[in-house]
Amino acid sequence: MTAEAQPDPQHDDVFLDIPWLVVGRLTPTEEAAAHRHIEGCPRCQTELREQTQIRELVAAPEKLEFTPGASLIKLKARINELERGVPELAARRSAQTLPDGAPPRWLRPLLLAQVAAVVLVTGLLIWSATERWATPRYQTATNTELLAAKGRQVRLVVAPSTPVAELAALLRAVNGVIIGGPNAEGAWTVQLAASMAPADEAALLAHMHEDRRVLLIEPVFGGVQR
Amino acid sequence: MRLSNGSRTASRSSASSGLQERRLLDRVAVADEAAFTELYGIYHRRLVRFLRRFTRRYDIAEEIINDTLWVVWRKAAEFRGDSLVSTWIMGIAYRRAMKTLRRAAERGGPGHQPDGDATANVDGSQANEELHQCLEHALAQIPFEQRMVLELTYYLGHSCDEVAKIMDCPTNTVKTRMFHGRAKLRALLPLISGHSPEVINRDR
Repeated sequence: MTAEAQPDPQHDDVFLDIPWLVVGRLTPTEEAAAHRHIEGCPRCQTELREQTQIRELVAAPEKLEFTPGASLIKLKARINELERGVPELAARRSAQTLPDGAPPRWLRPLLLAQVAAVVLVTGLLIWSATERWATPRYQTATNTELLAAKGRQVRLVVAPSTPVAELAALLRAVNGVIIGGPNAEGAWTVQLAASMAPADEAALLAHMHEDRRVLLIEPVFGGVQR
Repeated sequence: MRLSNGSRTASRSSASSGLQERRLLDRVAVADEAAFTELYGIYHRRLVRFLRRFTRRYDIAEEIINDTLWVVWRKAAEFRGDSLVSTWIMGIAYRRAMKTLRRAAERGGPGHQPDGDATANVDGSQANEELHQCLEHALAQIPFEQRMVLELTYYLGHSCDEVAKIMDCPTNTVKTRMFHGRAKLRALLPLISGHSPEVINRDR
């Protein structure tokens, strides 16, 4: 009687498991049992040889490589965009620290920008205070000379999740600087450029109003009505 | 025929990379962007190659990869370690791939068919190039689920249990799919059994 006439009862199991034997993902017990069977089974020996060859072909290194850089940039932009509307995700990010307590690398430029913004705002406040000492303590809507000299002032409220760098970019877009705030409602007082034509100013403010980060923008007095 | 120490080496390597990925995921859970960038690099490389066997369009592969890693970024804190990180991420990728590739196929675009040229020549030898072309051609003719099991096992080296978790099906289903996939591949790949490429080309 030949071996084929009395097949090993383990044959079917081992035959099914051959691909995972090839990739080394059987348990040591399963692997030992498989080898014991295969040594006496020509069909499984052939199958193991063929599957090993197929595996080598499937897993061979590829000539064409795709680098992740551009895709990652797209995903990070998407994450930033989507997290803006999800406070708990934004909070998770802002609460993040490394085990040693140091801020993560990606946060450091943002922190530096924040420090720079604080220094800038402080400087502007000091400057505006000292300037106030040298100018009348009052002004009226009819004081066109003063308006022309100082430019328009607007109240600006941005979404709390707006990073400092984005606030700075918004201000650059309207050629404005922060001269006060934020007050209890989170409103900043922004000084627009004196040289700006009323039509340009209106267009800029309208454009800013469309920005989803801007919750409120309105003139302090006179200026563009929205 | 007996395999060398490959089995144990593969297991050790898998355990080591599993530990590294778990550490990265723990950091991603607290929104560590540097860890996310590292994890993205690992999975972009794995997934782009894996997915290009199912679509020739890089933009579709990229969409699946970014959808997958977006879920990883959001849900990292919810990962409880019931499986390997790679099994968890590949499970997400599998579901995204199923959805996106089916949608692409329904739209009737040519993009969901694999691109044989992209993976053609590996070591420059004519015989190997022909083998790879035959493999691409053969894989393209195997049903999606069977091809997925073949790729998850042979390209990504997942165990049967892991493939079952990724595809959310019983291990016996995985073994059956693999069995039928192997049989079809064997029939479509006579080169493996020593036939010449001319025979294959003539039969196509």
